[in-house]
Amino acid sequence: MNVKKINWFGLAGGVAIIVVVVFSLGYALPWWQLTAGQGNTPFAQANVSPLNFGLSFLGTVIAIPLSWFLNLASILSLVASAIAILIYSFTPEKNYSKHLLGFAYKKPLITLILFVGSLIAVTTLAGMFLPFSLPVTGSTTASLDSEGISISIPITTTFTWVFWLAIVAAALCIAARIYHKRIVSIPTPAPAQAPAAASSTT
Amino acid sequence: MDKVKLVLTLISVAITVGPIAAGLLMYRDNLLNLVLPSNLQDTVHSFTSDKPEVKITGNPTINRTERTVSFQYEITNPYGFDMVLNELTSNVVCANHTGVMFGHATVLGAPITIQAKSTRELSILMTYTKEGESHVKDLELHPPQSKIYVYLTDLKVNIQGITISLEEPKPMEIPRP
Repeated sequence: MNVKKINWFGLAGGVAIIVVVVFSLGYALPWWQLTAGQGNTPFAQANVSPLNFGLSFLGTVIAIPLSWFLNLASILSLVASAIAILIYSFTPEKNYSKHLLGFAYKKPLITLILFVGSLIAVTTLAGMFLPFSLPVTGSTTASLDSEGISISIPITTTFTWVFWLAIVAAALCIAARIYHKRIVSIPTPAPAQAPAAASSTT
Repeated sequence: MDKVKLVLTLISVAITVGPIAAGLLMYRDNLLNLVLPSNLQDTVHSFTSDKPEVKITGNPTINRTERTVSFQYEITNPYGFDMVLNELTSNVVCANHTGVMFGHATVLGAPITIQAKSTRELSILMTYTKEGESHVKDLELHPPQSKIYVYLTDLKVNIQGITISLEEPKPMEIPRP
């Protein structure tokens, strides 16, 4: 195998996607987290990622079926992307490789864009309907007044390291696409002549 | 090679559209259930119907040297998770004479964890101010046989980081110091 012909960006991108998938699913690590209240069992918590969605209210898990199907689509998309880009990275000059790269490199970026877009949309919509604004990242205090009782709920939202790793994975996949042009322009070394053939010429 | 491209395109479509189409198909009879969590209503209902119960237990204990009165309570956590009481504070004012501050009340030993579905005792300590003590001891204002009623004002309870403030003063009876 010609090491110069390996697309290292693609290889790193594929590995990064697999790490993101493993941590998002195996360890149920979210990309974005919302916590209302404090302590081991906060009032409400949302652990959100394109691969896993967990919403709990007073310690009770609330399942939204639609999120399960959307998560499944993202899991399949990212796993297929990782497999395709890993195969491509070792064989970038094969006839089918460009198709594999085209299939794989955009998926992490699209997943990211849809995730961030949905997050912004949901927090903006929530701000319209709730009496307080919900930051995409940061802290706020929700104040509710009703019948002589006022309730203040501290809300914290944050992106986790898995989200930043997903950005790195998407960037590596795009870099793999750019680097592909350089790889195909590297001349393939001619195969060494067989000794028998060499002796017959003398 | 067009076949590879075609296969990859089909895979792309299948993995993105497939799960969503499967979801729509599975919930075709009631699409609302696809979006709305099935147990949300039950959770909200159990939260609003089951409320923590607070019962006073025994008689208040008076410490005259420290000018304190200790009240014993039993609090029951009806929920399926541990509740952490971080803070409970209140001002105590005379119910009969406006503007007379008796003292301050606070929960002892905070933060207090009340295990899920269990009961725990807690003590609330009221400390008289000097003004409050002399006001209560004034027999013209509070004759010996009369009961002393106070209002708990600015009552703040912090549970799980959530602060609940009662704007309406809560009346209660206290013993003489």
